[in-house]
Amino acid sequence: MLKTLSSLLGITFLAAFIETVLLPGLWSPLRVDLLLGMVIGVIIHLGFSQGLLFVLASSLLLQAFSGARPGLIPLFYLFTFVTVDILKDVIYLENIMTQVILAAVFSVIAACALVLFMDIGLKPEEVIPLAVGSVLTGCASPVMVALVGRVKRAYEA
Amino acid sequence: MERGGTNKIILVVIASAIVIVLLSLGQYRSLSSGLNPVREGFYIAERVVTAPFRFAATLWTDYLALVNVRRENKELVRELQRLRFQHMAMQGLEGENERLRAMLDFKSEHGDYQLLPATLLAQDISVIFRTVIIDRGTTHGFAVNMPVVSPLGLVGRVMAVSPHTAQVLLITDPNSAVPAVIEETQVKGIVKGTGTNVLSLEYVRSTELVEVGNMVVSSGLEGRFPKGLRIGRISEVGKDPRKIFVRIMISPSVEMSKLEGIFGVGFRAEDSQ
Repeated sequence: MLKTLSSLLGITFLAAFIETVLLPGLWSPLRVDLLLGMVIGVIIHLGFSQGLLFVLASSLLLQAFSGARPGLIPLFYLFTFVTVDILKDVIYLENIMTQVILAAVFSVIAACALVLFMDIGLKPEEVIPLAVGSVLTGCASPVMVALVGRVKRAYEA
Repeated sequence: MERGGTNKIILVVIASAIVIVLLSLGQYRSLSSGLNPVREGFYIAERVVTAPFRFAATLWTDYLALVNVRRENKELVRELQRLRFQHMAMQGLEGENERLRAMLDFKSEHGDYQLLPATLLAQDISVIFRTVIIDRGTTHGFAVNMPVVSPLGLVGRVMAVSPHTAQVLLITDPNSAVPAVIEETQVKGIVKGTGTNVLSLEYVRSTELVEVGNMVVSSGLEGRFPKGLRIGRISEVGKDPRKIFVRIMISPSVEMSKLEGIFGVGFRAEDSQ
């Protein structure tokens, strides 16, 4: 369990590097959330308690790269984790399209919540990178889900 | 099944309690310093990962292509940035005798402040919160609340610092507030970040003379930022006779998406208090 969790945290660290250094280097306002895919992945491949531990640890790790109020980022990922865990009894999470749509929807929810909560008046040109970011978050999520599955299988073997 | 469900609820309650405690303590922004080991680890990882690329780039640019010219050019660019910054500080204090006196005060107060160069390491994971991480920390003289500038104007202030990294709150962040003054009319207000690429100047009365194109500079009132640092030009003025304060939007002097050649402004010990 410890090995799996530490490997996943290592991947989260790498994801933070991609999210904060590589992607903004290509297009400054672009943000792609790779952790959302991993959250879906841990629900599919790991147990609830292990998944919850990972979500708390990884979101705290991501908090180091944000100016958001401490606790806000763990709150969002905790909400996502619990919601997706409830949804897994209703929808087939293993389906790639489901993963894409779920991640994109949660990315949009996060952006909308922040915009409303912080009372930010976005201009149309500022909405475009947010929309592109949400679409790319959705597209990246099956890859992250597969990565979690691979880590799990590697340690099981 | 029943037992599993109860366990899940207990775990979620515990996790929620942790998050609620964090949120309730969130008003103490210094908590962000608690995550310094993560940023330090990130700094080391980033250095290790990019080391071969930096080595190859340095080998090519500094030795193979242009042995001395490149180095000389870098020094000249740095000197030019330093001079531009000094020019900006001087420009904000030109004019009348009173303002000339203010310039002399500024020079006598901050004449020996240090400009500490830094490079951008990473950006915020969310596009709404405007913070960046730079590759300089306490070992290079950076400290919490230190102003960060570029040759074009004010960038922000340091909100958390570790030995090799510092987290900078940009002036465009919704949590940022800078005491400011309109250069042409000496009308004072507070420049607040909006989370977008524009700033808003608040607490300016409707009766004050404000025009589009006016330059807004730091007033130095709070003591956190030096006086006369360029913030931006007024891009929009919305007066409503029913309201006490006028709605003013500012276009920042520094383009935050292209931060280059940034400096921490090091105060003397007595100035920082």
